[in-house]
Amino acid sequence: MEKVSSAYTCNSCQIQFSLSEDQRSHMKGEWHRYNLKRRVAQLPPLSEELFNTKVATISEKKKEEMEAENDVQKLGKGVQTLELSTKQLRRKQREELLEKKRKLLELAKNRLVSNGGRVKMGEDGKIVVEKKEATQEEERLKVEVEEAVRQENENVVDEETLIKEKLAKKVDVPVTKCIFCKSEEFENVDGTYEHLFKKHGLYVPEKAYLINKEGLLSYLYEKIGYGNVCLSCSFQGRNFQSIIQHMLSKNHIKIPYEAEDEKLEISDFYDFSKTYEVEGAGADGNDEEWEDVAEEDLDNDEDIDGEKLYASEYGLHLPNGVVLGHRSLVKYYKQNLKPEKELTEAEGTVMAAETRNFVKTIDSKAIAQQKRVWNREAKSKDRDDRRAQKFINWQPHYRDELLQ
Amino acid sequence: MALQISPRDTDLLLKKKNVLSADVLDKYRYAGEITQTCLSYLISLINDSYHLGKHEPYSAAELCLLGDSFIQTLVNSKYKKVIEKGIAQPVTLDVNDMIVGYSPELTDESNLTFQPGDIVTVNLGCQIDGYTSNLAHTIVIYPPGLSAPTGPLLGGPADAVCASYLATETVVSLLACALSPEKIPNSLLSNNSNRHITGSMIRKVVDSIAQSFNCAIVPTSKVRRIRRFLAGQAEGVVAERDFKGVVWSEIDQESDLLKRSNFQDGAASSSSTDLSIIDQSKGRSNDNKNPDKAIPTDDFVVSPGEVYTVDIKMAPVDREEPGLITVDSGDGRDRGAKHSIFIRDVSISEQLKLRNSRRLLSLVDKEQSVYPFKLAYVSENFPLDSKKDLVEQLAKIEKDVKIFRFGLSECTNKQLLVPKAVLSCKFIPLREVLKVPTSTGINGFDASNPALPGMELPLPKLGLTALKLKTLLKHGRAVSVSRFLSTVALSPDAGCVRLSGGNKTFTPSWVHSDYQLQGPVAEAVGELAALVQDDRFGLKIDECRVMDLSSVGNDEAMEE
Repeated sequence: MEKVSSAYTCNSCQIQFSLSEDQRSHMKGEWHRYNLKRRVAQLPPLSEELFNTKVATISEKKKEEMEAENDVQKLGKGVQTLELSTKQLRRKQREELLEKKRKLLELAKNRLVSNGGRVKMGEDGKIVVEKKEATQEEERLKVEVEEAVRQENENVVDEETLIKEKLAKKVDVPVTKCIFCKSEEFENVDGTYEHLFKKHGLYVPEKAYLINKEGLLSYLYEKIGYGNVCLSCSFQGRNFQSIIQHMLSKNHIKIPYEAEDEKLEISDFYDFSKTYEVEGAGADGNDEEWEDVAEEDLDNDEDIDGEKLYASEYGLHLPNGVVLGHRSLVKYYKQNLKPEKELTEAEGTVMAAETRNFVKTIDSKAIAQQKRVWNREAKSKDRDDRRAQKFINWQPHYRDELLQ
Repeated sequence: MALQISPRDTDLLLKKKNVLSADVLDKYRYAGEITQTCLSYLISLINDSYHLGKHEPYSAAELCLLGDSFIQTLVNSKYKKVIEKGIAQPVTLDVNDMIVGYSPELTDESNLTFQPGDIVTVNLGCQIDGYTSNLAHTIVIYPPGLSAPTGPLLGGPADAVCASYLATETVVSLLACALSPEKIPNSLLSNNSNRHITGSMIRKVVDSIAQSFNCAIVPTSKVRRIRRFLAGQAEGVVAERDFKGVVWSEIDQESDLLKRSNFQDGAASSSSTDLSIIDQSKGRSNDNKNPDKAIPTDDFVVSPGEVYTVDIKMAPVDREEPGLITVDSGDGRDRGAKHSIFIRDVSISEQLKLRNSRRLLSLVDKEQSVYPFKLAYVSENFPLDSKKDLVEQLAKIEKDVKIFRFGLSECTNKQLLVPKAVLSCKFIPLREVLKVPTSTGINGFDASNPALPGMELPLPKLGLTALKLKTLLKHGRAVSVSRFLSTVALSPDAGCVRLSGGNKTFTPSWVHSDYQLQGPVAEAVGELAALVQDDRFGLKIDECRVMDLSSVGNDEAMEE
């Protein structure tokens, strides 16, 4: 390094300048800024040549990347690019396509209008709409649109390939085996169910009405093994192992059976027609859910016409007149209320002529007014007290009364 | 608390069922016949046992029970499809100063027998399907061993009997005039009024009759319209809507008394010495304060199609000493008489603790209606069967009543059953009234002695409350009361039907009063009496007759 007894130096780059202008221009440069950052990071400064070579290599790399990106765009393959960018790209494409289509439509319309929608009567009596030659622009747009649509279709094809991939990855477990611990093999589906219940706690709802046991189990296995979807939450595993891992660790081995759609999902495997039967409806297994409600409890005016089965807000009305209520309301059904007294004509007459008022009607206005008065009284008393407090201490100086 | 009655039901029960159709009038008539028959039966019993001496005198309790049983048997013999029928007023035998309510049970120690010279009021009532006929009649007990009295009753009680009898007959004929207004005596009509029978007219007539016989109208006297199931049986318990009638109370004596006291002070008395210090009389015709028309007023018009009871009680007063005739509701018990008549307050229902009281209440609710009843009525042996041994049945009833008494107190404490007091009449000198300070103000209601609405303050001008008046009773003197009660149905089609009472059926006892009818009303009273006597052009009053009991017996035999 040159040894010049000059006052113009740069400490971060460890160089000297003869002129202050040089120094100033240096300070604005990229090199100095880089070295400054290095200095902050307690690294030795780079020489100018080294810096320049570095910059050159980085910019080259960048250029390559840009090029690669452009390639991807052109090829329409979004496999390696980030998901976000592909999405944006796709949206952009779609918008462009829409724009193009709109333009095409506009042009077509314009042509029709400018043509005056001329309708000619042909010699043979046929109506001929005279067509104007499509313009060049229109032609071009048409081609572009077609291309874009083709590209879209290619994307769909892509999804199909994905499904195919999944199909390839599908894990098929027979219903006589446990999907979680494949080692065991059972004689029939019942054994599997028992194992699932005892080992993994899989409870099958409404087992009494389940008619297609194999169907249900194979459906569940397919959901896990092929769809890689968790039974009880919306989690989708990347592969079979991940979903099994998820279900075991989260204890999600259960069939949700609460919401309407959840019930409908597996309703194909059930048959509830038994419950609609007339005779002994309350008896067959249904009474875990439904309590028998005495008929007189529910003497509502709706006509029970012996044919229909319908539910009201009180319960389920069976065709034979029995009303089933939910067991959550059993405490109300069980209460033994005193029947309302029926008045004889004599009592009714005396009551009708009676003018004594037993229940005083509460006059909310009067009460509110009374409360206001009380509040005001309390407030003014408080204020008066505080004012009085001010003048309790009338002595200018403290005087101990014991020392008088 | 109170069960709600829908407006439609109210209309049906209070209006439509009270239309005096032929069917309804038949029921009224039958009830009237029963009361007439029972009264004649009781009078014959009293005559037989007291006057003719055919057997040991019946005590009051036995007479009451026999009368009740007689009514119940007759009621049961007809209108089998009607459920609600029976005794509307237990037989009471009110001796001398008793006004109403003396109807001892067999178990009571105070089992009065009557003495010669007593005036005894027999009060009874009967209802068929709520259509009620009440009756009260005062008879004079004369010395035994005679088929007829040798001379009339004299003195104060005789004046009272005269006055009340005359007043009742006059009011009945006045009511009959409501069906033919052209026959109303002109002297009763004020100059510019319509030809209507009004409450104030009735009051004027009765007041002047009382005055000319030197009597006071005992508080609780009234001329009132009755309706189905509303025959005044629960007055004080129930404040009845659309009350229509003239009611006499202490208030009416007050102004008269004050006038007399001023007069006695001499001519020197000026306005400064007037006794009317506080005027709390709100005016009895104040419609604004009376939206349900529960407070009795005098400005009503008697219209055809209504049924009235004329219930007038008179007590003689001292000419020399001004004083107040008032009602004592506790005195009956001094004679050892317990409360024996009860009424069920239907608006209250409560679960009872004692088994006996629950049983009593359920029996009452099942068998008794809204009318007053005695404990004997809910006994199994009631009514008495004339074919069986009477003494044995009476003993059984006595035993039952004793058991019912156990459960009674809880029922009365919870206001489920309201006892009807034995009312007696007291004369309180005015000087005692004026002595008492009225420091409690005007709000001292006597809760144990319910009054009609609007009449809670007995002496509004003097500011004397019911409670204060009660304290004055110790200065009071017992005064004999005579009472006549008669029920009149004013049917536009069938004319005036006198359901109970009437001089064709019951001749009044022989009494002699020194007083004569005086004043402006005397003429009108005479005119009315002549009209009633006149068969052709006069007032036609159809009296219910005593039933031929042999025919009733035949009916029963046929039904069996």
